[in-house]
Amino acid sequence: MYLPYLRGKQYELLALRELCALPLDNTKIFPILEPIKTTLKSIETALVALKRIGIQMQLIVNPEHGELKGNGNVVLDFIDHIRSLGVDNVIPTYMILSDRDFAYFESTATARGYLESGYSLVHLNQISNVTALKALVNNSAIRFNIIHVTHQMSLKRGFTNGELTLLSDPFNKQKRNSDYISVTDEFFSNDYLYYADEKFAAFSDYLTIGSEFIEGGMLPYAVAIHLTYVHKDSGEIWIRHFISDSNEDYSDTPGKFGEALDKLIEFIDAEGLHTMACEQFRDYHSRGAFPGLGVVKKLSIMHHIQLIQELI
Amino acid sequence: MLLTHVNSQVNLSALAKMVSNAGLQRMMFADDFKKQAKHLKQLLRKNGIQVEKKSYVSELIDISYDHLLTHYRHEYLYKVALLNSYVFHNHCLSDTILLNEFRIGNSKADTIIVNGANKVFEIKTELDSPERLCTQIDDYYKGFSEVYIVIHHSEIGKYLNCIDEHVGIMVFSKDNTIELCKAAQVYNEKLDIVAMIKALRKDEYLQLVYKMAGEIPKATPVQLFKACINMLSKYPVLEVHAEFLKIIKQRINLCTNDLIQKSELPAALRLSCYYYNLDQNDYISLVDKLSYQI
Repeated sequence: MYLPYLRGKQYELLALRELCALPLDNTKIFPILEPIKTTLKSIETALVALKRIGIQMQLIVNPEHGELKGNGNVVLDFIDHIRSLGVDNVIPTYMILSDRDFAYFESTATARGYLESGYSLVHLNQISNVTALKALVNNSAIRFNIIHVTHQMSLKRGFTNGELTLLSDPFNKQKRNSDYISVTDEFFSNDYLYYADEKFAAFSDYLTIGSEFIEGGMLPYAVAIHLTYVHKDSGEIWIRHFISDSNEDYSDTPGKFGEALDKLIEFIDAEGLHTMACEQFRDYHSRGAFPGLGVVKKLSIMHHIQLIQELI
Repeated sequence: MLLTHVNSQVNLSALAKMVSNAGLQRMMFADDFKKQAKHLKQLLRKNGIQVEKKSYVSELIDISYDHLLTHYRHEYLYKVALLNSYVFHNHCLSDTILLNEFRIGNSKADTIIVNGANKVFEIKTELDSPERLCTQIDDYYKGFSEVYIVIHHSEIGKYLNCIDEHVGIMVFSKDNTIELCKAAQVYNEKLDIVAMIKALRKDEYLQLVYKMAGEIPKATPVQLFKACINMLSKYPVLEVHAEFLKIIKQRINLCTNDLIQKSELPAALRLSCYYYNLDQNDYISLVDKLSYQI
């Protein structure tokens, strides 16, 4: 099983919605979504679309970033509300960074009945109340125990309940897009080959965005398109960065997109890649169109999720 | 002793941040006006200024402005003086456009004035250093004919030797006005068509191409910008420049020009209202807020 970790930004949600047409395989794909805006309408739309193909979403109820930070009750109320409308493919998911998070999880999950109806946890840190946490988890209806790779040895021990999931962040984020020019082709991940051997039921990553949360964004000097692919010899997942050439200022983003896209098309043609996203890239290329940088990110994410779905 | 000194610098720079283009726009036009106005009052107290229990917001702005004029002359004060003393006295706003932080080449010009002439003003306050001045000035000549540095009257000696002969000098005088010290010479040798196109918005550079060539190149969205550059590069640079200036002048907003000269507005506020493109509705709510007591 694969749990793509997404944030509730417009194009990340759009990526999920468009992939419904693939369709996503509900035995393999279980997205995690961290909402960042107080208006949750677009998440509701995504959930309704995902429900039709039976995909379950783990919705973070205590987000670390954005407008909802420290305001988790909004998400909890949202979950209870849409469940009452019949949208039940949502699993309340708690991030556990501190004892406070554990206390919050214990009290709200008890009050709202999640200990019986199901929930997931994202373990990001070892906490001091670990014994109580494990006792609670091992005696309730946990779905996924998602373990951050940094502490995976210590964090994963002692859970006898729930699907153990490895959360890693293989995207090597550079400060500026032009910095990728020196690493146009690099290793991304081999989690999909080994997670089962390492006693995990699932794995998870932050796709081609990375775990770092960045609000908004400025016009870039260089346009970058990130594309994951399977390395022929090793079977590992590698990533190519296709970067524009004329990067001396931030004029002409469409032209820069065109430069990066030329390189991407040459690569996907040579490799014979035909995901939904690749076909859309080919379409933009043939028309010389510029869909905007949000769409570039959307396609990069869509491609990665489809790639993994076809590998596992 | 040292601590109070550090504190006073911190308090001054916090006050300067509020009395700036962005700071004043935030205070007067955002939703949390009362909170921000209270904050301004607190900052005045922290800077050791006696403020009445109930003060009009317009008074608070005036007091802050005067305090900064004596103790912390940051860039916004120069820009305000440029508008209030130089532009109002020498030019007619209906035929003049001021541009704030205008990107040309890889630099951002502090203030640009385009009317019959076209002038860039690079402000170096006593809080700034001459660093990067040469590359900035080089960039400005890619789009404009005259460049001035605007400096404090006490620092003429510091800057005289680091500028080319055609660069002019304006000084921030003892009376807090902007005065001409040395006139700039028109210098068009470095005008650069590509830099001019890049400085414009998309609809503006398309208009520039259309005005020059009588048509817009047939190209895909990805190729359009490069096609425009190719097309315009065939024309004499001075002709393109003249059209470039005309297009910039289309940004003149007569309604805003009128409103910012109303006597109800504190002097320090006029410039940020100008750059905000103040309209009639903004003005009505603004006057209301200025007479609010806090």
